[in-house]
Amino acid sequence: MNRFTLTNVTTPAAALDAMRPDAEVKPLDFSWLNAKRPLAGGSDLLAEIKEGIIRPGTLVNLKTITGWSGIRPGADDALEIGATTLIADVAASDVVRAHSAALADAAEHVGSPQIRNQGTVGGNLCQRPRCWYYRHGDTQCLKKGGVSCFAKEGENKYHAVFATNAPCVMASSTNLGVALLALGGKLIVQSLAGEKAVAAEHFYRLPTAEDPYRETVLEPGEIVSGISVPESAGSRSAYMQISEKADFDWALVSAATRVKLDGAGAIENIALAMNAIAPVPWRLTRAEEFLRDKRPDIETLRAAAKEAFADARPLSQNAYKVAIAKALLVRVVQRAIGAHL
Amino acid sequence: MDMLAYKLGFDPLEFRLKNDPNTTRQQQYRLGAERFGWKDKFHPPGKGPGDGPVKRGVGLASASWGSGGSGTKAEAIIHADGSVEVRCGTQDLGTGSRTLVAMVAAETFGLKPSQITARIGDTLMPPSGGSGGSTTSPSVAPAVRVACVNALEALNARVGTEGTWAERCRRLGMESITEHGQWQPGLSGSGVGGVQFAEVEVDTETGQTRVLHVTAIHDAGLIVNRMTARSQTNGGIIQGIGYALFEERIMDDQTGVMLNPNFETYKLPNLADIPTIDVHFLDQPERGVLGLAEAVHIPTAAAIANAVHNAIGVPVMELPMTPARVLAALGAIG
Repeated sequence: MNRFTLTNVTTPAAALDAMRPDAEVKPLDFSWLNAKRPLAGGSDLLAEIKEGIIRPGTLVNLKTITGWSGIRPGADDALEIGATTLIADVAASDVVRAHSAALADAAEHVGSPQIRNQGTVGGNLCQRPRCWYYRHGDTQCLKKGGVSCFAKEGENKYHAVFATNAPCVMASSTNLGVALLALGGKLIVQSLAGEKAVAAEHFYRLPTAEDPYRETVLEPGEIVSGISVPESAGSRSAYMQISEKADFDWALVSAATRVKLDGAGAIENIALAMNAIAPVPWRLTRAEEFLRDKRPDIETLRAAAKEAFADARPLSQNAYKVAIAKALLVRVVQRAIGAHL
Repeated sequence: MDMLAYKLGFDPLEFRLKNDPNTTRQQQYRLGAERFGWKDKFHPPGKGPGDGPVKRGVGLASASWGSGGSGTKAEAIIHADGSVEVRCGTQDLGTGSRTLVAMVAAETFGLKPSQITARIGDTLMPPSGGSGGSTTSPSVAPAVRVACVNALEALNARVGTEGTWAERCRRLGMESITEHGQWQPGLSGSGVGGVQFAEVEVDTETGQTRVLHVTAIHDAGLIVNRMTARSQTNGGIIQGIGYALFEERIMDDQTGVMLNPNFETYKLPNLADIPTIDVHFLDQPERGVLGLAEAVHIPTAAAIANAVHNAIGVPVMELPMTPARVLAALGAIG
């Protein structure tokens, strides 16, 4: 592990000051990205450092900030959760479950009990790629400054099936991010310029040729301080994932939805998102449009799943993910509306 | 073998009973089928009850393995304070060889295992082999037994057989008794095996396989310690589940590295992946001490693969049987 300076801060202002880039940030120079990193649970960050993937000089400890942890009601019946709240606390919260079951379910499926008791909401939302080329200390993949994405032609059974023409085909793996996307939530971002709310829809970004390095729109010095989930009266949400192992495993595909039925039992409104199928949490807009105003019986859901994946472009080893995702789409909507398989 | 059985219209158990000449395994098939409830659980491949996506299936497989002992030396020392040390250059991989050394010595001296200090895991001690090939127990137990018999005879010769153990040892004074022993034929055997039955549940839409139950019947000769034998069998079966469903080394052609060099992506069964396991041993003390290790691991993955075949109606021809491979076998990948 490389040497770094650990900065404990107690106020948001001190955190932002400590995260301020040392030098002026030049266009297309992303060295700032790993020069200073915020630390909370450390379950993702310390593993990156130990593997020698990144060598930050400064870690800014956010856990000592008072006020960035906790679950509380916000304006307009929104639910607000601080960035340093433990994932285990989100999973166990009756308040979260009553407000947005998908978020509680998503938290419950993160890692193991140890990871949920160490990892935080902000860390899960901003976690780095799980791609095994990225995580291996001896490979120089595109994300680490190399010239190409090895997964495109290599071992890609865990990678993306959408946006596979992007320069990097990692699969996003944030459980909370996909739930937040389906729930129409926002991330609260702090910067020296002030606070802003960024919709989950816009927070995650696809890798581009100029910048394949960042998974989010966070700019130099910006920090996520919490999330806000809007109240959606009369709608119900759910999260499910399919993994190889029964527990303590990454999702091959995960899915979150928020559904509102009308008085006749037809879908008035639906948001559907899946993860581990694209470099970002992926909204299934074609399925959403297909399902609107239809009764969610199993044939309709299957037809929506077919529609949703008509334009999937799997890689050489992961077409199976499409089959799983189609089944999961049906199941997650059924779970949300309380129908059985 | 199951593909052949199905093609000929046989129940795979019946097929083995008709064709396996080994009398021990014949006994194991019958006993295992009874304990497992094969008759009630078996159905033709892909024809299980229920119309949902989750299908149940059963399968069995058998093992034959060498085992057998040779070569080990051991040393037994009796001190005037009544304590006993047994020294042997074997090692304990977590399978209980230290317990075995203490138990064999205790039984020979008429003491409790807790009264024996078993010293192992050092090349300064009398030589023993590596732990491999299911040979540790049948190599170590006879050598320890012979060393202890020699030490007991030397004790009796020096201080007689009158009095308690403590009284007799006290008469040794400053000079402890040190005797050696070497493996000799007659106390151990070779050739072990077993039969295992597995019941699984396969989600035909997602390709996920869960092992629900394993019944294991094994011949293990003279069982020195029932608890460590059972524990080793549980361990072998759990490893077999990893072999069947999860474990796979991913080598990358482009970079030459192993892409999954950790337990995050080189997957092992967790508690939630482990089924109920029913272990039963054929007691055959007349065969002497035998090894168990590989024999309990060999049939598991095959039994699970046969159970998956039985559940979904098509065989999955490659391990581990990941969701990707199960879905491919089902022709479910568009």
